[in-house]
Amino acid sequence: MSVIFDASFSRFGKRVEGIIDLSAESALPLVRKYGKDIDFIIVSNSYSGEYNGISGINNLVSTRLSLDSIPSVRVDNTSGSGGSAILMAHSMIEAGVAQNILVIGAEKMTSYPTRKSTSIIASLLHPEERAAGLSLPSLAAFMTKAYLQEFGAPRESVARIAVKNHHNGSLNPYAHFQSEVSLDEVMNSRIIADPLRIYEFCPVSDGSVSIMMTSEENASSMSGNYVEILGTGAASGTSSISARQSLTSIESVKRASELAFRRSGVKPSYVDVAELHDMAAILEIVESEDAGFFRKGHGWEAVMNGETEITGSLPINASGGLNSKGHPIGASGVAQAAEIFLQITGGAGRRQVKDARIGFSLSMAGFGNNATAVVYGGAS
Amino acid sequence: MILRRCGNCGETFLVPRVRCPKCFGENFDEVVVNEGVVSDCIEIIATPDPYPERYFLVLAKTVDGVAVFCRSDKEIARGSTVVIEDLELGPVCRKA
Repeated sequence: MSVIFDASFSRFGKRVEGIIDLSAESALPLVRKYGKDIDFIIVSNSYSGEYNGISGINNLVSTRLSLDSIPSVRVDNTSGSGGSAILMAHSMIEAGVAQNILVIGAEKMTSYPTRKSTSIIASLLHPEERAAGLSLPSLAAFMTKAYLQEFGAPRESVARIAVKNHHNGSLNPYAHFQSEVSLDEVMNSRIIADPLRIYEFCPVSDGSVSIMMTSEENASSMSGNYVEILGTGAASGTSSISARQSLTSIESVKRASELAFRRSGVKPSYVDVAELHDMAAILEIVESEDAGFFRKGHGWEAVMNGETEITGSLPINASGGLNSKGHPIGASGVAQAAEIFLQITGGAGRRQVKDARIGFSLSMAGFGNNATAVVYGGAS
Repeated sequence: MILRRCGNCGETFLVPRVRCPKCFGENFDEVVVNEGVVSDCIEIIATPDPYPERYFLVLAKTVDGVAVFCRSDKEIARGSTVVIEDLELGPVCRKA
């Protein structure tokens, strides 16, 4: 079994540093502590070519850290890169290929105007579908309209995700947005893709997060605190949006979650804290249903009842989520794992979920092209 | 707009494939479509380069039941029939 035994964050937001310095910023505190033991580096990053004109970022980062001789690889799976990096590290440790893996998630995205950025990210869609002027936010708008209509959910329930996650982000010193927003502010903010408004989308962010992973056998000699990866699940759905059967459910999320829960022997009802991929607010509701936490069409009620707040029965995105913490694409999935590590080991500060023992993260690529779910527990 | 229809089972789809997603057949015919019925329509204000700064995105179903996206400068109600035309900057549609 693999474990996460340390985590280190950079502040997310608009940063002046380049991608390599940002990567090193979160990695350095871990390298200082464990540098002599690190035998593999995984860099989760999707767009260093498009945004930063850099390829082979893994070797550039390992040299910046003076870990030149340590083998490394870059994992690119768009927004789901971080989840894939965790899955890869977990698999390598389980297989005995590596002992102590430094996983770095990093992205530098704010150097281009938003329209250019929207275009770069939309490149994950098929050209035949993208040709109409499709973007990820527009798909979220179609999903929102379909969800509200199909399940009779009030418009406010989606906006409340942004209110909740901005509140949580205000408690997270590493979050891009560190201020609360009211329901009125969300509902009256600028429309991005009707009916969704600007506060209901994640910002374009720079940032990096690093974690250390090892085997359970090695963990006690490395650090006092660790969290076990109890189970993982990876699944793909069709990347052709026009071929999907439903606009209100994401097949890859359902199957990845089912797998992770089955492999971990944990039921969704056991989970104390979850980090979901809320690139757009509606996704948090849809994923909370597809992951098995709420019945289909009832996730919005949990939001309205406060069940997903930090003090609720199932806190979701206590970190602020992508919505408020920010979404430096390659960093996001690693940040989810780092947040769960903090929550289960009691290190989450003002956003600490009481008695968090079992955690769950859902890292999603594209608009559900694929997903990686991870169940965590067994803190030392 | 061009769709692909499997020569073996008749499955029709938008995004090109070298194997039919239903029967794995490898022979396809191209089907030209220029009409659909609107399933939904949204306005998008934050748009990607190189598209206009504001437009409506229409999700329409063709006669073969294939969902396709096209752009419109006007909102079009659900259930309306639209004419789809391929332009240099992708497919656009207007109410029939």
